[in-house]
Amino acid sequence: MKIIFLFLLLVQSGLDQLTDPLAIIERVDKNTVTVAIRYRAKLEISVGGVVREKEFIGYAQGKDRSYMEFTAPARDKGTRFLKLEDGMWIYLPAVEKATKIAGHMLRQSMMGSDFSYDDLMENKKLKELYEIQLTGSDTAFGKECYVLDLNAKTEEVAYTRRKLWVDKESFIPRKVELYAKSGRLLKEIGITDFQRIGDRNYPTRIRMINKLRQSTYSEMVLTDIQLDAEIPPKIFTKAYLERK
Amino acid sequence: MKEIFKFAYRNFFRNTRRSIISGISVAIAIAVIIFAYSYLKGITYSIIDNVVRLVSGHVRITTREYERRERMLPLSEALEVSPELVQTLDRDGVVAVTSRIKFGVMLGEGDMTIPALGYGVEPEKETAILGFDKRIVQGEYIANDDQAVILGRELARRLGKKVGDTLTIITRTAYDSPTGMNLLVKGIYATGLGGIDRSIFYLPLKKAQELLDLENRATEIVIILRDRGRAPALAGAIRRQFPDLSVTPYQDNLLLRSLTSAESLFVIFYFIILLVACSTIANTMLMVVFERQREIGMLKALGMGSGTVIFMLIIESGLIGLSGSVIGCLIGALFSYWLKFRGIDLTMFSSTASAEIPFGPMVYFAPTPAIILTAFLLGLLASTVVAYLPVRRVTKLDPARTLRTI
Repeated sequence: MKIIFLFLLLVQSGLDQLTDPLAIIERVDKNTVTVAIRYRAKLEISVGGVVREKEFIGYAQGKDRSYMEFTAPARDKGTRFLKLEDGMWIYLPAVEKATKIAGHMLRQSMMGSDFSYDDLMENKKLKELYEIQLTGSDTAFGKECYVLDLNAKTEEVAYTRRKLWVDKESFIPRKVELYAKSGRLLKEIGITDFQRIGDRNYPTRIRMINKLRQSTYSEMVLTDIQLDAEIPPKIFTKAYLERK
Repeated sequence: MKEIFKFAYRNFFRNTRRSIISGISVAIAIAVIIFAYSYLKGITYSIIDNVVRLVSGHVRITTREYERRERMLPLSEALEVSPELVQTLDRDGVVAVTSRIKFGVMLGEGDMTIPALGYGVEPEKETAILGFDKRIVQGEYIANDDQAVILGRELARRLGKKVGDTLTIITRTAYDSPTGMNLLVKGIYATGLGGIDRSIFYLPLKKAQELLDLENRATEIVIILRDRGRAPALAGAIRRQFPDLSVTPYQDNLLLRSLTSAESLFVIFYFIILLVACSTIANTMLMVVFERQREIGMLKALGMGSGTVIFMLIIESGLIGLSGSVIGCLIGALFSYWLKFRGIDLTMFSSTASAEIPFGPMVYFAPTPAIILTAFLLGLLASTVVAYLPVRRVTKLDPARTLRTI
C-alpha cells in the first residue's frame, strides 16, 4: 500500500506543473544550447509565394564559434560564413577571399531568408541574457505550453523581449515571439518538430516569419545532427574559410 | 505729332551727358538681363541634357513598385526585359532603347568603405546616350562581354584604384543573398560632374545581371528620341499598351520640374534689375520737368495741352530707353553669342559644379532672338512707364505762374 502511494506521489509530481520559470528555461537551454554541433540543413525561403531552397552544412562550438557552408543551389554553392569572437566573415567563391561583415549586418537577413545571421549563429543561454517570468499556460501547435515572458538584462541582445511557448512535455519552445525595444513584434518562430538526441530534445524543423516583411516565411529543417561532436579546430579559422 | 517727336528728339540732345548716363544705365541693365537669361538657359539645357543622358532618358520605364520605392533601389522590383518588349518600344522616332540596372553598394575594405552607385549598362548602345566612350581619361571603355568596370575619376582616387587593378564588389542579389564579383578596372572616366565622378561606376549589363541574380531583368528601360518634344506622347502610348508599368517622360523628372518653377522666379529678379536701371531715367525726367518749368509753361500758354506735353516728355524718355536698349542688346547679345560657342568652364568653381545638381563643367550660354527681343521691348516699355510718374507733375503747372516766377 505504501509503495502504491509512493508511486502515485511520483506520478503526481511528474505531472505537476512547474512553477519556477528559471527551472523551465534551464530545461529549454539544456535542450537548445549546445557545446558543439554539426548538422546539415535545408532552408526553404518563401517570398510572395515563390519558394527557393538552399542547403548548407553547419558547425558550431561554444557561444561564439560558428561555420556554415552552402552546398546548394549552384549559385550559392561554396558561400561560407565564419563567426568568431571578434566578428564574422563571408567567403564568396567568385571573390576568392574572405570579407568581414559589418557588425550591424549580423541582424540582417541571411541569404534572403527571414532568419538573421544572429538568429542562426546565436548559441547563448537565455537564462543568462533575460529576466524570466512565467505568465501562464496556453497551447501552441496542439501542445500544452508554459508561456514565459523574457525581458533582456542587457542592451547587447538582438531582441529586447521574447515570449516563449514552452512545450510542457518536451521543453522545446514551440512558439517564440521576438520583440524590438519599441514593443513591436519583429519575428515569430514556430518549432514543429524535434529529435531526441541523447538526453536532449533538439529542434529540427524551425519556421521563422519576419513580421517586417510581407508574405514571407523561411523554414529550416536540420538533419544529420551530431551534438557535442568533436569538431576539428581548423574549421574555425580564416584559412579554412578561404581554402580553394 | 511729327513736331512732338522732333521736340523730343531735340530735347534728348539738350543735355547729352545726362541722356547718355541714363541710357548707359538702361544699356547695362538690358545687357545683364540678356547675359543672365542666356546663362541660366544654358545651365537649364545642360541640366536637361545631363538628366536625360545619365538618369531619365527621354522616356523611362520601370515597374510601378520600383518607381514608388526607388530611393531604396529595390532590385526585387526589376522588370522583365524580353526582346519582344524592346522590339515593341523601338518605334518611329526612337533613337535608342536600352536597359539599365542601378544598384547601391559599399566599395572598399575594412573601415574605409565608400557608398557607391553601380550602373549595369549596355556599353555599345550607351555610346550614343551616356557617351562615356568619349569621356574616358585613362584606359578604355568597356565592351558588352567584359568582366570590367569604368570608374569615375574621383571615385577611383578615393578607392586608390587605377587602370588594371581589380575592384571587388560585394553586395546583395535581388533575392537578398550575399554576392560578389571581381572586376577589372578597365577605364577611368571624367564627366566634370562632381556627383557622378565621385560615386558612380559602370559595368556591362550582363555582368550586373549575373552579379545580382537578375537574369533578363533590368531596373529600368531608357528610351532616347530624335525629337524630345514627343516624349509625353510616346510615354502616353506606352502607358496605354503596358498599364502595369510606370512610364515617365523626362519632363516629369522632379529636378527638371523644380527647375521650371525656378525659372519663373528669375523673371522677378530681371524685373528688379530693370526697375533699378529705370529709376535713373525717372530721376532724369524729374530733373527735366524742374529745369524746363518755364518752357513747359510757355508751351502750355501757347495752347499745348498737358497730355501732349506729357506725351512729348515720355517720348524723350523713350528715346533714352530706346538707345540704351539697343546698345544693351548689342552688348548682351555679343557676349552671350560669344559664350554660346566658347562656353564657360566651371571647374574653377568646382564647389558649385560638384553639387548634386548635374550641370557643367562647361556651360554654353543659350541666347535666342526671343530673349534679346524681349529684353529690348522690356527696356523700352519700362523707360516710358517709369517716366510717367515724374512727368505727370506737368499737369499741375500753371503757365502764368511759371512764366512769372522765372
